[in-house]
Amino acid sequence: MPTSKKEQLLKSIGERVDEAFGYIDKSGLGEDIREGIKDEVAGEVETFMRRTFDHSVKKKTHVAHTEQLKLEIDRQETILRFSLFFRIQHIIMFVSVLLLVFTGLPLKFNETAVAKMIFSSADAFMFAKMLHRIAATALAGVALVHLYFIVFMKEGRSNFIQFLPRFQDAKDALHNIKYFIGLEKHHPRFDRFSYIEKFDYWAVYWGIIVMVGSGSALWFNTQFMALLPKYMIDVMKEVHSDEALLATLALVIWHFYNVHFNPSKFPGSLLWWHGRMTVEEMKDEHPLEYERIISERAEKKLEAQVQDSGRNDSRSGEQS
Amino acid sequence: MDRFIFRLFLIIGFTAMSAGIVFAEEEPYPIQLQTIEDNKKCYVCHSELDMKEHVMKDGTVRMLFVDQVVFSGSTHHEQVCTACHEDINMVPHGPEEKTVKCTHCHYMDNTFGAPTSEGDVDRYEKYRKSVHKRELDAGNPDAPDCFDCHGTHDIIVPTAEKSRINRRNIPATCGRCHIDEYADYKMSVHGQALARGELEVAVCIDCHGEHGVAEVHGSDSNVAAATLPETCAQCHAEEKLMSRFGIESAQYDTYRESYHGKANKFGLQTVANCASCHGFHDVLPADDPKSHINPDNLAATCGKCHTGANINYTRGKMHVEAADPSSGIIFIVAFMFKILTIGTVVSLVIHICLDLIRRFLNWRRRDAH
Repeated sequence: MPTSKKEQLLKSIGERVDEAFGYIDKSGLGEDIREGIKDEVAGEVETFMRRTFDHSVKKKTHVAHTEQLKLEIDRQETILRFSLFFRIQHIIMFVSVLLLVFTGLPLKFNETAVAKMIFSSADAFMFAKMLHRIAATALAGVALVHLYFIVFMKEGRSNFIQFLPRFQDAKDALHNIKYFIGLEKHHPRFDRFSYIEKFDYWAVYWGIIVMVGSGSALWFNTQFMALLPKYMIDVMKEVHSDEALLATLALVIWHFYNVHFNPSKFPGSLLWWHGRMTVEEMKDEHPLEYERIISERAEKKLEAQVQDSGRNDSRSGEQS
Repeated sequence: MDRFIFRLFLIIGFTAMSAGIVFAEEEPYPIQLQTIEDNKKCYVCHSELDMKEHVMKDGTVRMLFVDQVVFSGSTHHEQVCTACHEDINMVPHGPEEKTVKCTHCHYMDNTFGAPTSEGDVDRYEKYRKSVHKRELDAGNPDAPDCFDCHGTHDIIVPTAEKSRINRRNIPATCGRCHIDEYADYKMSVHGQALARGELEVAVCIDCHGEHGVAEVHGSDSNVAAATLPETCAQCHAEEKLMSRFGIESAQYDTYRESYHGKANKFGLQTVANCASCHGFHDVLPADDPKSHINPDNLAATCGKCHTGANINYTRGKMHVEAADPSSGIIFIVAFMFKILTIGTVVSLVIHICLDLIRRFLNWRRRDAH
């Protein structure tokens, strides 16, 4: 006969009450008085029990409710991860890179149907060539802006420092792979930039240096060959063509999977547009950064309060 | 000038007189040729040496002499004269002798066995669309008709060494009109090889076409910027043929891999094609000091488009193949990128697959609870 905790409790209370009533019966008091005492006891027990049970139910619902609200707040409240300037750099970069890919790769894979579609005529070919050069100029420009950003601006400097590879990244990578194959229970706790994002950043960093360098040689081939032998321009062409493929593959496979196509982001993230991440996501993907942000905020708030109260104190001191 | 006009009058006067003697002698009577024996009737007059030339009504001078020996050796020696000169039915002939029409016999699906076709295409149809025929129809007196290339009474099978359209004689035949081009060609590597008796070497028709010859920059030309590389590749991409002459056969493929070749493929007229660097009628091997691609001349050749081209243009192979270890640093760079790309993509894909598997397992476990 299965009995719940509550039933057991009720049973023992009932037994105790019966016992108490036994003592009252044995006390030798008058009939009326005995009944009166019994009523009194039963009433007390009833009040006690009602108060106890009601409280515990209320407390339980209260806790559950708060937890749910917290989750909702986490889901709704966002943290600005990338500033407007950061996002503008990224948008100019990806628009120009996409243009470069669509006007450049068909030249590498000129046997394919897509290439024949894009270069449908000599005019289309010339237009694609012009677009390629416009986009290349935009990319080189945004690369220079980024250099300014990471050297001369406080925000850029701090981001760049956080982008630098550390020993922790190798440990994180190993930890993550262990987690994937079931040797660790939780994935590593990442800071502002995980090794996945650092790979993206440095791939682009290296890619832009290589592509802008070799691309300039091909664009200004006459000037280039005034100084360097013919085989160097062949090297530049080979580098430009091969790095183009490598960069596109890294972009489409790695970056697109990690920020857009993985099951928790599918069909895509709008982070590049608004720069915000929900607290829930932050806690999961960048817990160390989240904690730092929260504690920084708390410290600031505390400081403000201290200053406030100090001001109040001094004010009240002046008044007295 | 006066003397010239005087002489002309003298000639015309004499000819008219002699004709008058012939016409005065008897009335015209019909003539019919049944067998080749009857051709003798024609030779009565036309093998006379003084029948050699005749001034026509419009002032042009026409050959009337027929060499019996030459004709009996020609491929048409079993034909009666009127088979071609079909409008001749009277002696002496009327004044309206028409030009011989070869299509009288040489038409598609004829029953005489007269050759007509290149594959499924009527040769005359091709000729009709060619620049030669269009010029002729437009009234250009220098534009060639069939007999200008094939000859007249001396036509023999093209396989015969003396045929005007035998491979070894084609440049000379075309050169009768295209004399500058013929001079360039004779000096070229192709022309020199032909003179040595290499019959597989390119002659005029291999690049320009024969009956269907088009304007150089016309839409159906084989030697316009858009089509020239394919035309050269017909021979120069043939490994077997080229190896016999000790020439590389990858030139076409490497050209197609270059920016020049790719831009040319998509219709750009201004980029270099084979002829831009190698020349065309005057093409010569690189070791010839007169060659456009001789290292000493290369800067000038490249400089036609790349202003300021210098000695740097000679440092390195022109037709580079990145996959070929002899390309040196280019091969090394390409090889390193190949390894880098394969290595990167494989590791990224493995990472993504592991991530997906973990996500799937987590999701199933959460579902089970």
